[in-house]
Amino acid sequence: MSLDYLDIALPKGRLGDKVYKLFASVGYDCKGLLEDSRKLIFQDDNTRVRYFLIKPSDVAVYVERGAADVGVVGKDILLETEPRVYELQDLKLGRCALCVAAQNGYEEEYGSMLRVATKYPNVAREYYRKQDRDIEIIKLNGSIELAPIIGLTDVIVDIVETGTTLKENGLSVYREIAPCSARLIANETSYKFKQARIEELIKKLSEVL
Amino acid sequence: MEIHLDTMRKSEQIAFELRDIYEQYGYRKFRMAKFEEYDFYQANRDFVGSGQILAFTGINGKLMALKPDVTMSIVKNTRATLEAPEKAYYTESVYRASLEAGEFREITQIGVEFIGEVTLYTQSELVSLALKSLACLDKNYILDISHMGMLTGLLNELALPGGGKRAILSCVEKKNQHELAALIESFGINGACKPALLKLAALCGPLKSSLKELEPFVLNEQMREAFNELCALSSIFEDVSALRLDFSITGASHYYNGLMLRGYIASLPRALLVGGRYDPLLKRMGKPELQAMGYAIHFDEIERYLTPPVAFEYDAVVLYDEKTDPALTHKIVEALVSLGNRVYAGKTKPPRAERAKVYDASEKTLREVLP
Repeated sequence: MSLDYLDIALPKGRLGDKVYKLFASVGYDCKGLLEDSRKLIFQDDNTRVRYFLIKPSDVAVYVERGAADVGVVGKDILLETEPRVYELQDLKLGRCALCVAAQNGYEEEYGSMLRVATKYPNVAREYYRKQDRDIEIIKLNGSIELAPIIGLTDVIVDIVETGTTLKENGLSVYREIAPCSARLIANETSYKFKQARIEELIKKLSEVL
Repeated sequence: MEIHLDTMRKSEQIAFELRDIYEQYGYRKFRMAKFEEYDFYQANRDFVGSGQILAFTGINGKLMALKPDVTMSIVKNTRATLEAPEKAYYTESVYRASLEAGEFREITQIGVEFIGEVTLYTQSELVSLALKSLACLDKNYILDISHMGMLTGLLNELALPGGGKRAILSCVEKKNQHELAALIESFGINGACKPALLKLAALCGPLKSSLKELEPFVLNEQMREAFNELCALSSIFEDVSALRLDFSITGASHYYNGLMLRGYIASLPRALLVGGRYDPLLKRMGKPELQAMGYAIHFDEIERYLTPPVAFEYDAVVLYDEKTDPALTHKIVEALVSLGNRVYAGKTKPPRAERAKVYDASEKTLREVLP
């Protein structure tokens, strides 16, 4: 761990751009980060900040393993992977909800095992375990909405932002599991040794959130 | 005999140094068998981390387990009484499921256990040993402490279902203030408990100043007792900046009841020293009259993060041929070894001997090296 720099893991893509603009607005800017390039590391020697651009689902891994001090990750990923990190702040960006969705007019049949398609098997398992519901999980990596339409599963568990994709495919939210948004997380050891810098970041962000 | 610490693996060096420290403070090495009966762990499987146990069938058909934990074996075998406590340390391999590796792993643990009457002095001794242990590992270290009495004392003020208390503790463990505030709202927690919960979740800093901040939020006798124990430690370790207060350190209340310890070094991304006071475990294991406290240092990842050892090198090379009297070679080698050298005797100079002094196995050499 470099004790001089604050290493920040940002999710690549639209959310990452929004988060970076937020961080830059409170003094954590880093030249060139928003330019179109394939660079993955950006360092600013004035602000003593280093950004790593990382696939969103990997941000928590980098932070948990101490490769980055802090990072920004969706609550959906935190619920699914349960990394050993501190969850320090709700950045209120990328708001969505983890939901059970099904075809319009769906009524749950309690007499049989429920088939669930999802990218979030742990979230789905935990949600239905609390209801003592017997389920079969079908892990998919994309186009989850297709599964109930063609009869692969009864329902899906997925994140829903605006609901447009569901609507266009004749689906609707059946139950909400948890609201989600981008969260600032920190590595345990980094928090101990860079507490002042991390708390300063939180304080500055709080003032604009 | 001279011991060359610099060529040992770092974990071996540390084990060596820690053994010395623990013995200086009157702790004796505890040895135990590699296996225990599976049933022994079954009743307390969540005490042993992941709860998964590597089991096999013994020769007599009994289900056995490769030891996933050392503390429980020490508790089982202890002859400690309140008047004559057991002070033990151990260096043992334990076998646990690793989520990262997706498989069982052998993990070396070094730890200290005190079983008997845990006085304020005992607690300070264990804190002191934990601090000294961390200092052996890295010059940048922090020992965080918390107290289960403070957390359970506060939670007992709240009329919450078990799941509600667990959810609140989970937020405190994660330093998740935003969801804690939402939980407080949804459970309708008001009055003095609300700011006390938020304060406990937010506190993280030097022991003395953090206790000063905490004092107005002590709400009942259980919290007061815990607070007083922390204050006693604060007065003993007043000048130790590495000792800090952080209530995100918790443990299952059916195992832990008092002071909790967690040690960090800057070169490792997670806590490597974990421990605390565990009177409830003794009660569960049929020894309710005893009290206990201890900690373990996990060595599974440490090698990768610590400074690699100095490559092995010879100090002296003794060259001989077919005509040399082996008794003469033997005498020269023994003389050089007795002077603390690492010696290679052979017909040609080996690798890793660039800086070694080279001797011919002759009478002249013997006269030269004899002490």
